[in-house]
Amino acid sequence: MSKQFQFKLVLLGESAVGKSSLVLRFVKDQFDDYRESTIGAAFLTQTVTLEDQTTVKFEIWDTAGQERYKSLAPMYYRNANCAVVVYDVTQSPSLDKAKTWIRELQRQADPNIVIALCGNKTDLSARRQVTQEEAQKYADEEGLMWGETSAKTGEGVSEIFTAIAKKLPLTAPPPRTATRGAAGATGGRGVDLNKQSATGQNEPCNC
Amino acid sequence: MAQTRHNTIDLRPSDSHSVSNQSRTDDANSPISLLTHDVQGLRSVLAECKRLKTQAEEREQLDSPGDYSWMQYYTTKHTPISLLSKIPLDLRTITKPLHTLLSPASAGLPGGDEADLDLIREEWVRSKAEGLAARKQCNLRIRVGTFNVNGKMPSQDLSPWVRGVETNNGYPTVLPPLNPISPLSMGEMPKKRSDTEYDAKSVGSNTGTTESTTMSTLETISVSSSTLSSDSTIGGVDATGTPLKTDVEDTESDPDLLVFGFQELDLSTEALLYSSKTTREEAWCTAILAGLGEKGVLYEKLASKQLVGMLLMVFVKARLKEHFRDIKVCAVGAGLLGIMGNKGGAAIRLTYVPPTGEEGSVARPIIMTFVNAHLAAFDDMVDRRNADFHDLARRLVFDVTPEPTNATDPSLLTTLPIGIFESDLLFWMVYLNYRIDLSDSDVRTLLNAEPRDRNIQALLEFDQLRRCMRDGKSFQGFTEHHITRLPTYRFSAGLLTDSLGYDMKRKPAWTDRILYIKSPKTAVRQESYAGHPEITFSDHRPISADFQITMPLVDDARFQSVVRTHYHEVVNMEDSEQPPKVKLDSALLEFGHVSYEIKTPKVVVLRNVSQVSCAYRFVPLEANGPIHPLWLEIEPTTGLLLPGETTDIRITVHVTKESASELNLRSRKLDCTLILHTIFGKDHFITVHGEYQPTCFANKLSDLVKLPGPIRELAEPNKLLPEDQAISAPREVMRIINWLMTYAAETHDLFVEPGTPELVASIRESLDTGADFIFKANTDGQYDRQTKTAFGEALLQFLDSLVEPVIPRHLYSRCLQVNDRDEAFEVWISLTAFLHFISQQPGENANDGTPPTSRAELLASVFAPILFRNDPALYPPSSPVGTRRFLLFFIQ
Repeated sequence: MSKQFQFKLVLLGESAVGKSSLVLRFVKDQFDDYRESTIGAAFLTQTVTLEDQTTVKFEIWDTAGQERYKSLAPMYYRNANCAVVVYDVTQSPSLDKAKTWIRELQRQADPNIVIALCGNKTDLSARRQVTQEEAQKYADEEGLMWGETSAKTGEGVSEIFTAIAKKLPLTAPPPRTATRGAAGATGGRGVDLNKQSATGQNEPCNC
Repeated sequence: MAQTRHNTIDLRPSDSHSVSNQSRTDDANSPISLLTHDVQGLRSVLAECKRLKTQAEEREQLDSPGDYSWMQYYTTKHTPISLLSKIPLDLRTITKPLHTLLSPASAGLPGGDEADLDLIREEWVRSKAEGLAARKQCNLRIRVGTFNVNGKMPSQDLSPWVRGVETNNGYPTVLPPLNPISPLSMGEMPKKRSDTEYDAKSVGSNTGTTESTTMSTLETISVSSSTLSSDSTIGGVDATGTPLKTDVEDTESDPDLLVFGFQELDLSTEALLYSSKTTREEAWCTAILAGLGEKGVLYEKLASKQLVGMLLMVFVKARLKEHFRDIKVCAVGAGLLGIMGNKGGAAIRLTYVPPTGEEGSVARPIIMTFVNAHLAAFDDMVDRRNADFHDLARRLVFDVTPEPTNATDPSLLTTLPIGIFESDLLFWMVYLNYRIDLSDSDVRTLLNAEPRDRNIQALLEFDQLRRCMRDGKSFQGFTEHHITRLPTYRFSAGLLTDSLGYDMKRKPAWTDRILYIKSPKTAVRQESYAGHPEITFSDHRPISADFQITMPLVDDARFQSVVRTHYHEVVNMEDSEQPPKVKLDSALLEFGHVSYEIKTPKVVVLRNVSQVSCAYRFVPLEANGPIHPLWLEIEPTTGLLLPGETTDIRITVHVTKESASELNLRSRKLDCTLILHTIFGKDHFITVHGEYQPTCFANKLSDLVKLPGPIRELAEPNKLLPEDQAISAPREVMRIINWLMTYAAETHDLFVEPGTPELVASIRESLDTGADFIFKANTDGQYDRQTKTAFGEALLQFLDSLVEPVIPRHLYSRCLQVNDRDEAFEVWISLTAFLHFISQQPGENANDGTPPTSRAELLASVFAPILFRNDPALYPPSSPVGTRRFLLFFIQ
């Protein structure tokens, strides 16, 4: 049987760099020319199958990029196994913003988090402001993964997610992030259905 | 799964179960471990497992192995049993807001969306079906009484207790007559004729029943109490002159149900061991029917349950008897060894199927449960009493056979153990033994002094039951009506008593109580809660309560069909691959200026823009944190929308005393982000902005004296004057006191009459801004009464809102030495000087005969609890008698 893994991935970056479009392309292979700004955080899942038939399921949190929601971001990147920090190749300031996010992640997120820097909107090559060299140099210095994508054409999108999947430590399943089922099956005394106990006299469980 | 409130456990494979499922494939013989806190659900599962096992075995004998048709029920999506079940949900969970029962999710951590969806969906289907199937309202009047009879037999007319005729709030107009029976006897000695006559007269004058009727009923009791059965008594009453059955008017105001609980019915040793005798029950039944007088013929005994000294009896109007079905009784002991019946509880469960008045229409049953209990004695056994309560709540269980639903095979139904909380309405009538945590002399002093109603409220602050309910240690979720009656314990005959008749050896206490808990759809109006001091033969006095119950009358067949269609409609929609999607009409709420105590509501419209039904809930930022700050309210916090549907979510900013102290001098920004999580969908953010207008209320005195001017003029919250420039007393206090000194000193009911909230708010606004008071004097330079009482109220509210009371808590024990807190001292001097001043005023109606002393005492009783505020965390609390006396030194 092939191995299955599940990881929490969070998308960060300035408003309007194309985080939601990137996710939409990755999850549904679709693109909207006119997308509303995200006010909140969307949860989606997508599975990537690697060459060795290992499947990696991403639980993706697409967060709002607007400044006023910045204080909420830590709630979404806590316990994340990987983060995709997106900038817009046609907007230099968005790379600076991405750097701020990366510094925050390095300081506050899980120390083992895998961070990928992603330059989006390569289809608008005429308006490019951020060169590949500049971004890659920064990524190398910080030890980050780096890639460029176009959510509109789909170029580079699945590649960057597959690269992340390969980079994740595929040795042991990560701890479940959800608290559900935390009670677990510990210390249950069990009930023997063959025994004709007088129901009602005692509670039939020890909780 | 800890939060599920299902009647069934969801055994569909989910992530949390998958581990055990896998291990089972490895070794078919290893047991499966599942843990749940949902006891009711577990019971259903076990009952179902046993049923299936029996069925499987039978089929094996019939030699048809491989027949798995019984599984069909489980493999197709069916309506959850909990929705169709006639067994109500546990009152302890259904009375909690739904969002507290959902999985512990927070921003970015969705918890258990699947389980949450089940809960939200069920709630939605249930309320929808109840709304659509409701025909009209059904009303029921219930009179509940409890009486610790101390082993005595009925020897007085019980009509004040059983009929609920007027009493003056439990205060005897005359001293209760001494009971001639020796306390050592069992009280079975017949009363002397003369005493009976005296009782009858005193009762008769109070109750308005004619003396002759009362006399004849009394005679019936004393002659025949041990021989006549209840039926023959009805005849007897008829024979002695009460109108014939047909003539008795059955009025709306007569209770439909009469429920009476007795404790210490029989104190003999034999009774402790063998509780089979029913003689006493018959005697009490007779006495009750006799006490009902001419109305007695309207009622029949419906059910009774006795456990040694505890007896619970239910009477019903004969014409309604057929509507009460499936009557169940149970009892458990909690006395010696946890089983002896001297302490414990007896319970009766009634299934009321109200008449619909329509051909072929059957109403959904309403379940009512009554518990009569007797908890552990002695002043200091509070913990034991709390434990007794929880023990009884767990062990009082009825065996109920659920009515078959269409889906189940009736022959295979097993009885289910059903707890007392699985009702629509649950009453406890109890001899609780909870006492008052004050010294004996304090209790007696307060009971004997004026003003009585204030003193009773002061004493109730120290009532152990009230404290336990407040701390969530027992009777959580129950309601008890406001108490205005005197304590019902303990009276004694022939022993040393105080002037109110209380035994000098036992601290008076409200040991006898009636409480209830109800489902959200049930409306309960309590019309009385009274003691009956006229009934004097026991060492306790009986108490009674009248309830008017209103519930939606739901047609059962229609309910079942609406539940099925709605449930399947919603579930089928969810099977679609489409993600749920909602839209908010606004993600930013601007509240502008927000003032103290003033509610500012705004509405966010939520619209389901997807093709599937969509459930939502608000989640906190941090796990287990609050979903909104203290100064904000959200309604509703959970819900479900069909495609295209919209709903209004009301978000209200309300700064109260509790949240204002944080905001006044620290932060004036009201900023937060609320997170609305759609199940299997997005988190939506709603940002709230507001500008808080600080107030002089809810501050520390030590901060107020350092204000350079009115608090609103303070540029920044922390720009206070240095310590050496502080003024001697807050100017706000001085402004109110000056005004009161000038214009209101002679107002007799100042501080006693509550002020109008709008006027108080206007006074507060003037204090905050430093503006002049807006009130206009009359031509004679005087202000109207309303304005004066508003100023009095403003002063009380100001003092009550202080973060620390005027007298620092650590000084309570040595408050005569108060001088290390100047600002408190200044307030104290001016306040007490002022109180002294007004207590010396002749008053505007000086000829009402109120001496100045009593006015001073009245003021002390008003101000003492505010100046010496009791910290609920501190125990034992300081005595109200002591603090009042201290205050009186200054006022008088």
